[in-house]
Amino acid sequence: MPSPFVSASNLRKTYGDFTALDGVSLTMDRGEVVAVIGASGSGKSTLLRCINYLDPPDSGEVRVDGVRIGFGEGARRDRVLPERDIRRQRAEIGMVFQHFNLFPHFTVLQNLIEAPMAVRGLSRAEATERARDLLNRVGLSGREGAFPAELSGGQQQRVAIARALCMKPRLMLFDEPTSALDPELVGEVIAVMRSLAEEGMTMLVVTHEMDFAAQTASRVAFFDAGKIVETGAPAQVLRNPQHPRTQAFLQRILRSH
Amino acid sequence: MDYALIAPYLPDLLSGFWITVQLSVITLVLATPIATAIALGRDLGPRPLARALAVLVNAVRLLPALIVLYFVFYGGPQLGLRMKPMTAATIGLVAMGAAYMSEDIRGGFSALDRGQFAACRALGLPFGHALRRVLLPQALPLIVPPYMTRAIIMVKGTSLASMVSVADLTAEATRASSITYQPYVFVLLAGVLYLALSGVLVAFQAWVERHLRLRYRLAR
Repeated sequence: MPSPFVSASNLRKTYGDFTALDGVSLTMDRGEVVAVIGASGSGKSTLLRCINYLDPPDSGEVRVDGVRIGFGEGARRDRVLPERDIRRQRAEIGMVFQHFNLFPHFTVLQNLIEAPMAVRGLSRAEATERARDLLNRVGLSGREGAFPAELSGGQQQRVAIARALCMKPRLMLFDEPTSALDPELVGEVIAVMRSLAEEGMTMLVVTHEMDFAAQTASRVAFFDAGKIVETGAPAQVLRNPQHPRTQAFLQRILRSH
Repeated sequence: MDYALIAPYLPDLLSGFWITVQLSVITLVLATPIATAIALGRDLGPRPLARALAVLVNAVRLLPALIVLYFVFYGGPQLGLRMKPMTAATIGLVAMGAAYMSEDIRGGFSALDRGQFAACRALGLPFGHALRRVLLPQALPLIVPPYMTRAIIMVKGTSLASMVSVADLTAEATRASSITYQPYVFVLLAGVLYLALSGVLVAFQAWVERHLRLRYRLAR
């Protein structure tokens, strides 16, 4: 059996007295889209931040395409890698944030080409060509010269997705990408994510958008108090949840919609 | 103003002014990078380093500047560190200036959205690159006004060097006053020269702020 493309095993992470991850394990095949749902503060975002080592887990292991994130192999398996090597690993993992985190003093184009030039060593011309291509894909051709503050939230998030894709990542992490958006702007971001999923990108998406989870995800994982309590096909987890916590959460969500 | 009264002392006053200019420039040039390093160390460094720097900054910040200068100039030789007045004054003023300035710079960085740091790291940008291209340009407009105010305070503070036998503008002006019994003339003259020096900094601040506004078009 081939090993999974992404595997997180037994991740633990505490902040003081608060346990954000309490032994979380998750595997993903290449091209799979996993939606992570659950109440706020249940540890969903921490999982993403541990996967790209933005927050080092206290214990447990993450592998992406066989490569162990943050640590060496063999004799050096207990040693944290030097920052330079961790940066290289992170560059392979795209991340999209709830609040976009675009660089406000850069134009849209500069936001996209900064890291490919600095980290991947692309020439300005190469990076610009790649960036224009991506802006076209996210429906923002012609906005290269705009500053983030001149764009709507939905447009900013699409720029942020294009910025992450400009690094040609092998895995994409989305941390509540539509939670900060006005309701009428959610659709355009979801559409971009959906087309990305159709192209075969491996995606781990923390979201409150149940429609996205139901229609686009290949699997849904329900998070509660630092643990994945239920995981399975969207139809199963969302329509016929087994765990009482999942049932209670989904009922709350349905009532509020 | 009686030029004949001033003339004999003018060379000494100008040489004192020149020493004040030198002391100001050296102090600012040395204190700024030290202050930046302290600010970054406290904000982003490992916890023991951050704590040690906090203690150091507060120790210097909470003492009167004159006590720090006396400590370096008079206390130094007792510890076997004999130095020229100018060196002692520079060390004392740089220590004071760097401690204060580090707080101004730290303020600018802590006002930055933490998401900017996260985005830089997630993209794999090396820290130096992130600092230079992403973080500093956003922090600078916040740092410049308090930093420049501090710079002006430091320039004026160089007059304390006169207390540890540096022949700066204040020292020369008080010397001329006590010989001629005409403090009105000489202290006023010194004041005008200090005003000119600080005025340069004010003009510089206006230029920098204009430049930053144009360059980064920050929507603040």
